Amino acid sequence: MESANRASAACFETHAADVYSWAYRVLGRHHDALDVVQDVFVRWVKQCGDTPPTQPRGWLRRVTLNRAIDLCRRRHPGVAAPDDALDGLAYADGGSQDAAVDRSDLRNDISSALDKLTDVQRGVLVAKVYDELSFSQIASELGLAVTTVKTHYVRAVAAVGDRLRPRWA
Amino acid sequence: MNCDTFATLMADALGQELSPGDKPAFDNHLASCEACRRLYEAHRGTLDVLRSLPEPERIGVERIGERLILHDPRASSRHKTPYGRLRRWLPSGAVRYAASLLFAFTAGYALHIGVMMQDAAPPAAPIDTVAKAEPDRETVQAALVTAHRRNPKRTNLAKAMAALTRSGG
Repeated sequence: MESANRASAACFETHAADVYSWAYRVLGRHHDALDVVQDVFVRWVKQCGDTPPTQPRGWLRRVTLNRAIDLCRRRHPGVAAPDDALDGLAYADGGSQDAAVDRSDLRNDISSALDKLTDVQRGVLVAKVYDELSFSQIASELGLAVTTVKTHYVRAVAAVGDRLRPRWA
Repeated sequence: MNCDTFATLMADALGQELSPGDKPAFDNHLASCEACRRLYEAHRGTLDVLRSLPEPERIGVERIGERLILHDPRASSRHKTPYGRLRRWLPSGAVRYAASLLFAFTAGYALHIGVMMQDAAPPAAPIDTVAKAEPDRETVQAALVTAHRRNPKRTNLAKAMAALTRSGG
């Protein structure tokens, strides 16, 4: 029990910042992302405290993205969630209010586009685009063949593009 | 290179993992096939949109005793106030308690010294015993004379002066 707690604490120390970052990319709100960090690690302790997964980072990314998407659906059903950028909290980069609104809209569109992907496609896309992992790293994290990961990647880009292109591309 | 081979290399190209050996053939096909070029550029555009969101702030994990605490970058900006710095400097509850006790003791001692010094000072004369200086008769008389000279029509003044002269005599 003691060693399981220590392992969970080590996992939290190592990956909490990444979990926050994945959640924030989907949600765009600081406090929502912190809620997801807490939920994910509570789930980690319950499910993986005794038997941690072989690829903890892959497990955490998948669970975090699913949790963040769930939160998006539950907290803002059918309504665009206001971004932190609109509160002037997140990015004090001197950008105009219009730019902040655009960024918030874009994030909402990306979140709803990610929502339509399968778990694996979503994980592959986020790992490749935002974590900048190689296909072989992603394949080893998810326990898949490299060619399968590439297929998921192209399909995910195409699916997200279908939703984003009319407005953004 | 035909369109099927191009499609298999698309993931590598989009993920910036195209091998130098495949690049010339890929570029040639891209230049010659309109449909493949349009598809590739659409996917590139989608990825550019996904990457256009700003990076989230990095949060850290602080270990305080046996507790792991998410180090919130926004909360840490609040520590820039003097009180915030003090709170960071005094993280432990026991140290804060000891500092409060020390402050209370010092304030109480200073108050006690103040009271002692007040007691040691020579007693002030009671208000009742302060002799009120009685105006001497000559002064009053001289003032009345002066007032009468300035304003001879004020008979009351003249009467008062006469009364004073009589009683003095």
